[in-house]
Amino acid sequence: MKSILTIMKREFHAYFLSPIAYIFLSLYLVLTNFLFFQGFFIAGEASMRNYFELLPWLLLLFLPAITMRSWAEERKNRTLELLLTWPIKDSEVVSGKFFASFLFLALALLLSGTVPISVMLIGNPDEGIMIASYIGALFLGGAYIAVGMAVSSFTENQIVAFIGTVVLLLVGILLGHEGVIAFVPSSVAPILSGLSLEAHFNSIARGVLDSRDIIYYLSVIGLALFFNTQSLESRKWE
Amino acid sequence: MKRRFSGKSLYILFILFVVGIVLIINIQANRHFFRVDLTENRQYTIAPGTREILKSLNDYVTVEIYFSENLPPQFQKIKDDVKDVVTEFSVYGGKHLKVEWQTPRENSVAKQNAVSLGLEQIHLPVVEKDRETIVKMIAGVAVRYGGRSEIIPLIKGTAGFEYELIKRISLVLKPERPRIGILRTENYSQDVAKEYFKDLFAVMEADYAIDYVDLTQTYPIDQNIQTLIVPGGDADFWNNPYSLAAVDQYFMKGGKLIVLANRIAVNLAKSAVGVPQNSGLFEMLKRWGVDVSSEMIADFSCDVIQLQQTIDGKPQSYPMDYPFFMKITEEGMVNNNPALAGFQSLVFPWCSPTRIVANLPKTVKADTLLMSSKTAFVYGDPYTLNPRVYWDKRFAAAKSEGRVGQFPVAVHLTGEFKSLFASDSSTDQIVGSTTGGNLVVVGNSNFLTTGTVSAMFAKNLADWLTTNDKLISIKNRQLVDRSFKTSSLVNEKVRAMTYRIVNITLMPILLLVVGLFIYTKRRKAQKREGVL
Repeated sequence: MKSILTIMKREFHAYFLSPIAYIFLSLYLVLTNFLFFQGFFIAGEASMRNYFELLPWLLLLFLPAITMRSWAEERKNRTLELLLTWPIKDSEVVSGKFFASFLFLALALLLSGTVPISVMLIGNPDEGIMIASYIGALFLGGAYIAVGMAVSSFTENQIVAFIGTVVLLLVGILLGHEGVIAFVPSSVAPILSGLSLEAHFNSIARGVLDSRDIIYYLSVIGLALFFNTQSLESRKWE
Repeated sequence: MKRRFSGKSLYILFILFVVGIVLIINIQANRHFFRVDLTENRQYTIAPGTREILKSLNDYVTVEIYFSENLPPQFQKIKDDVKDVVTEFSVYGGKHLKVEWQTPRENSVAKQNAVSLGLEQIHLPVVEKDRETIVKMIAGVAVRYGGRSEIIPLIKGTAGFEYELIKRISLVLKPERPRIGILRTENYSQDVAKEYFKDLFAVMEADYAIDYVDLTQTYPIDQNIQTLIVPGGDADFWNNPYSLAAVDQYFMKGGKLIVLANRIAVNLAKSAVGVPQNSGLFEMLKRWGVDVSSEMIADFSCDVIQLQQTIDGKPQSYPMDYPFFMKITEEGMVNNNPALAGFQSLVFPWCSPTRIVANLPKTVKADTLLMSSKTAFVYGDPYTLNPRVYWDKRFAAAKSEGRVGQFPVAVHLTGEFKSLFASDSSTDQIVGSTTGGNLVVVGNSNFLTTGTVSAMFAKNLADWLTTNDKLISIKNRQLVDRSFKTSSLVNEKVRAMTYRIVNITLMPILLLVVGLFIYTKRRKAQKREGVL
């Protein structure tokens, strides 16, 4: 646990050594808030529903850009071997890096706090739904990060890691998307929906914390981190 | 380096084993799950009122749920949610609630039953074997008890499904549907009235047998009507002693009354000035303990109307706050009345103060249900309805004359009431008083035509007087108004722009400033240490 914390701190700190983190967070906030407030006053409803409808798509662009460098850069700079010679388990390295990215995501979501405050000043939103949506966003983002890290562990090219992650996550989202489900046989639709990253997020974002959704996300995160660890393990065989 | 696995195949097996375990965990999680409902009104948790009704079942009720096979995705989700709700119903209904899932396949008994019960068949596109086909689909519920049945013809969504289902269970237990009367006070035929009060009829007909009471056809009013709604009526109608006597005697014989009294008649097609009404209705209400004042309330807590204006020859509409359309928020909803539970705001156009009289007999219990905001003021004659006036100046004038305050808009009275015709010795058929009177008076009837929420309020009043309080609280869970708070005439565009700019720029600018500060500090430190 101590090793995980050490790596997490090191990685999280590393984000802010360059201007990238600031630019990233600023871009994320400008874009999400701009898109949300485009329609907010027209709709006239004190709700963050539209904000969280956008979120899976916006995180799809932002989080792979964060995770693409997690392993690919270490491989490129030949620091991965050094890291793996430390007297700590591979799974701890993976977990440390995951929690650092997760903390970065949590910071981004925290900085969007002006939006719920504004919505509460303007009207009377359902705070329970907003809280659940933020929890859902953390789970969804956690899954994106874990998948992004796993993809990054298989390549030393950051662009490949980014595109690979986006494609994989896009498939994960579209599996349960109405536009896709409408074109598959009805018997297959519930299975696809059950596997979809977006469908489970929507389920939480309506204001209900369901053990099925939470277990689904923990499974996706767990499996992706497992594959990530195995990918590192496999390097030792070379 | 030591290899953890003896071979590639063993390694693949290990991976598959882990994936398999995760799959099994997820399949099991789908069977045994729990949920925490964080929504304000516990929208996805069955309400205490529902639980109470289900626990009180002492005879066997069957709930038949019909869902066709090969449902389109949107209905698959609804089916899953319905399953969740019904599972909870079963827990509280125990052995007295039998739930049967039916699949109405083509030419099956289940389909014949569904059709004969009146469940709707809808046509929807479904993709089968890469081809889009149109299928007939059924998604409905039938609740059976004894020889009776009540149906939900089509489940359109899960919002409000709990209320629909528990309402059907309550209704099926009753030998016949409760009857509600709507008094014909204007020269409308039933068809015209149904169009004019379409929202009211729509919400009422779902639960009640509706009688459109035309006094020229039916006299006296049938006492089997449990509650009578009296929507306005002009002086001609109420100065007719037969109209007054009919309503008075219906009330004296135990009928429940909801009187929506128009003290100021408004007919914008004829005039932009309201006309005060003096009729026997107000004398009768005063006798029962309610004084509907000949004033009109203007309130800064109000709704917005769209005004038309021609600019450069083109008609354009723009929104404007209209204080005569008073908006009563939760602060104005008094005494936690079940008929008001769940509403966040209600709009009442051209309303008059409706006060409980000072010399109310001790045998009558009276409560105010609705109050204007504190920024309201009242008008006397002439009642100019023009929205394009200087409301602030009018408010200031009213304040200097002591016409500003919080005004009652709806009241509820129960107890002993005396008939307006009690002293009439010409006939001994007059019932002179009632000891179990139940009366609601609202200071205008025009709210009935302002939309579904207002119609729902009228229905809630009827539910409250007629049936079961518990049902009202369940229904109201879906009626939360999330519209923006009124801004006391603050310019909406300025407000929107301010929020937009603050939200889009504040945090990014702060972040960049912090980033720049840290960067500069680090550069200085590096310079000091001779790194640069």
